[in-house]
Amino acid sequence: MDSISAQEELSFIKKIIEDSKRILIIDGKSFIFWGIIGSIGLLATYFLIITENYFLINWAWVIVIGFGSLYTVLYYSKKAKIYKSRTFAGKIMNSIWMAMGIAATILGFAGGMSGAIHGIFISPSISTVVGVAYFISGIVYDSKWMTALSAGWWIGAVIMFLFPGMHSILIMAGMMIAFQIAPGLVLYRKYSAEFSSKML
Amino acid sequence: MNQFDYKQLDDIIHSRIRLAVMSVLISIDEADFTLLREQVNATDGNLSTHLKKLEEAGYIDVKKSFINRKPLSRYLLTQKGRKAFSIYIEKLENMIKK
Repeated sequence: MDSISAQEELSFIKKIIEDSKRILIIDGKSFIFWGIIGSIGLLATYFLIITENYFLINWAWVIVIGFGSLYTVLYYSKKAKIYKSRTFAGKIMNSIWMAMGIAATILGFAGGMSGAIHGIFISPSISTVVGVAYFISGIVYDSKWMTALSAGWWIGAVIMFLFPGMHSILIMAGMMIAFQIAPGLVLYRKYSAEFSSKML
Repeated sequence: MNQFDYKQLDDIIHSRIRLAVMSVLISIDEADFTLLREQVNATDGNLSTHLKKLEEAGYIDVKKSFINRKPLSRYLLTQKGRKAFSIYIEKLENMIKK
C-alpha cells in the first residue's frame, strides 16, 4: 500500500463516519402525539374559558402535559430496547425537542401563573419557541419542508401577538393540526415505507 | 518490510466491508443488521461472513433478542475493536506522513 491508497482509505473511513453520524430515523409518532395533546389542551382551554371555569385551565394543562410526558417517557424507554441505532443526529434531535418542551412548559405555567405573560400571549410565545425547534430540526434532518414549517409557526406567532383574542386559542389549535400533526403523518408514512418492514 | 507495506495493517480490519462496518460502529453506539447492510452496501451473505470474522476476532459483539417474535441482532464495537481500529487509523496516518 502506498501513501496515496492510505490516503484514499482514510477518506473512505471519514466518509462512512460522517454518513453514519447523520443517520436519523424519525417515525413521526411523537409529532402526531404531541400535536393531538396540544390540540386537546387548547380546545379544553377554549371550552373552559367560554364556560367561565377559569380556575380549571391550569389543572387541564397539568393533566394534559403530565399524561403526555409520562406516556412519552414510557414509550421511549420501551423503544430504546428495540431502536436500531443511537446517533449524534438523533441525540441532537431529541435534545432540541426536549428543550422546546421544557421551554414551552415554563412559558405556559411559570410565565402564565406569575402574570409575566398574559394568558392570551402564551400561545404566540410557545409558537415562537416551536418555530425555533422546527427550524433547527429541519437543518439536522436535512429537510427543507420541515425548516419551512418554522415560518408557519412564526407567522402564526406574529398574527397572534398583533391580533390577540380568544380566537388565538383556535388559531393555535389549527396550527397544531396543520404544522404538527400533518407533518407527523407525513413522517410516519415515510418511515413506514422505508423502515418499519425492514426493522422489526 | 516496505514502509508502505499493507502487511503492517491489521488483516481483520483491512477489508473494504469490515473496515466499513468498523467505521459505522465507531460512530454509532450500536446498529442492527439492516442498518449495517444499508450503510456498507453489501449483500446479506457477504455481510454475515464479514461480521462473523469481526466477531471471532473479538472486535464486535452481537446482542440477539426477539422483538414481536422476530429476531433482532444488534452489533457494537468491543473495547478490543475500538483499540484495533484506533491503531489501524494511526498506521494509515503514519503511512501518509512517511
